[in-house]
Amino acid sequence: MFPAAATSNTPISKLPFYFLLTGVVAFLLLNVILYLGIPSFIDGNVRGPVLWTAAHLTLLGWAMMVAMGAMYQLVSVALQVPIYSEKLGYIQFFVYTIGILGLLHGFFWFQPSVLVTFGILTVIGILLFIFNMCKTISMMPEQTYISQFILSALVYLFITILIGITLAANFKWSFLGEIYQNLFYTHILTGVVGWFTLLIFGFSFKMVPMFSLSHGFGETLPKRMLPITHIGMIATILGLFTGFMILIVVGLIIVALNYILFLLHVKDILQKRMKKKLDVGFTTAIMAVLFGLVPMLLFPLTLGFNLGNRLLISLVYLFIFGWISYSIMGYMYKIVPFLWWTKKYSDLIGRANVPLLKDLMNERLARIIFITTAIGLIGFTIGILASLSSLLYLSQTLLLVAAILFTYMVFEVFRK
Amino acid sequence: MITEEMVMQKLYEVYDPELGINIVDLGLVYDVLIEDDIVNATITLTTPGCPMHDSITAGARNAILQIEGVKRANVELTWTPAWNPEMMSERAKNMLGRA
Repeated sequence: MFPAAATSNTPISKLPFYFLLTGVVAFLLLNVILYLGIPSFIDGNVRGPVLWTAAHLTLLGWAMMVAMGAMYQLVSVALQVPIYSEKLGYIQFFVYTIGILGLLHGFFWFQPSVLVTFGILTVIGILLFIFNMCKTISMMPEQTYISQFILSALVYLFITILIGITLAANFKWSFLGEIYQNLFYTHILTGVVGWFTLLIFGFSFKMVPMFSLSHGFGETLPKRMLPITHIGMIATILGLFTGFMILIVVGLIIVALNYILFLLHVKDILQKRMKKKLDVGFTTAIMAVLFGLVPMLLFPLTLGFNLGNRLLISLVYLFIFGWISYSIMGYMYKIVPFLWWTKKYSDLIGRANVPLLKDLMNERLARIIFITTAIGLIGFTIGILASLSSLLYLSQTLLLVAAILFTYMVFEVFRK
Repeated sequence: MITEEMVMQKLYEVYDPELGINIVDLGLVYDVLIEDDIVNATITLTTPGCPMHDSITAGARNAILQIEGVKRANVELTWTPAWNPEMMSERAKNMLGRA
């Protein structure tokens, strides 16, 4: 037997809490703002201040905020290296949060100057994060397929924010002309598929076997997935800029095939698991993969056969809220109790009776929240597709109730 | 006199907080060596980079130090041989739902 080479990297700092809790507040707020956006979904015209605000609150305030907080915790777990600079993490949090607040104000009241100013601050906040993560990953003695996924996701994040600030500048100076549309679609593609999807893939490779106690699964699939993703993404982006629809469709088919490979890999892990009963948070994260499969398969068909704008909008909604946001909700159920448990009880283990992680979350309440959210998501997606105002309002009410309960559940952990 | 049985008995009280199963039944305790009042234990985790790295190692140390007469407890973490599910006791397998 040889001693483990890796030293402890378990973070017990407050840094992840800052991000995660700010993210939860944003989650609550976005569910209120989405009410204001329902008329735009009914009209089918989703470009406007309210939905721009809702989209950025969702992706930057909620998803990105939680992703960053989770990365400050999970990178050390999944990659077994300590974070390069925690101090930089705190600076980055404040710069980013101020940037986001201004950016949201700029979107909501549509003030291009505010958008540019706070957009730059947001970009600086994200650049500091990318720098911190890249330095952390570079400290690994050897790169793994998980670290390669995370690095690739960071590259797409970099591209996304550069395009984002260019688009914001265009609001003020209108210099992009026809290229605006191409950049806008690329911004969405690199953000939701390149950044968020690859990031969730990367961490799932570690977390799915860890939470299900799975051993003996194959690792060939994830090792082959990354080049396929890049080919799909590049083809789609080239298609967007050259105007060749066939290239966009082929690119999106490749991206969808890659998603299916991910699903097959998750299935393989779960088939070889020792833990038969999976908890509700983890089941939610797995359910999110299935939600994401629907738009992934239908994107190429919708564009290739020109099945209409309404279908496309409902698929984008399902992808962002069903796949990205729902995954995050599920993983929050695991991450928040772990962080709090580590902070409060890790010194007592072996000395006194300490609660288990599952004792810190109300599983029954969580089940109600996740099921209500799933019903709300499906209802909202159908509501966009069928332009049903009453269904949209009813679904968003369910989603808001679930969001309020979710916020309560997360904050309750700190009382245990 | 400190015995291996006494040490193992104490380690039964250290639980993996995620799985809710003690580290002995999980098969995480590889070796226990006793030299007078010093206990050296070698343990592993179910996966490298387990987030419970610190907690479980410290928990094992704390538990051993509670045994009367123990002056020092050295808990060493190892990845070789790698843990596998066959190392679990039947009780642990039953608790996970896969006997």
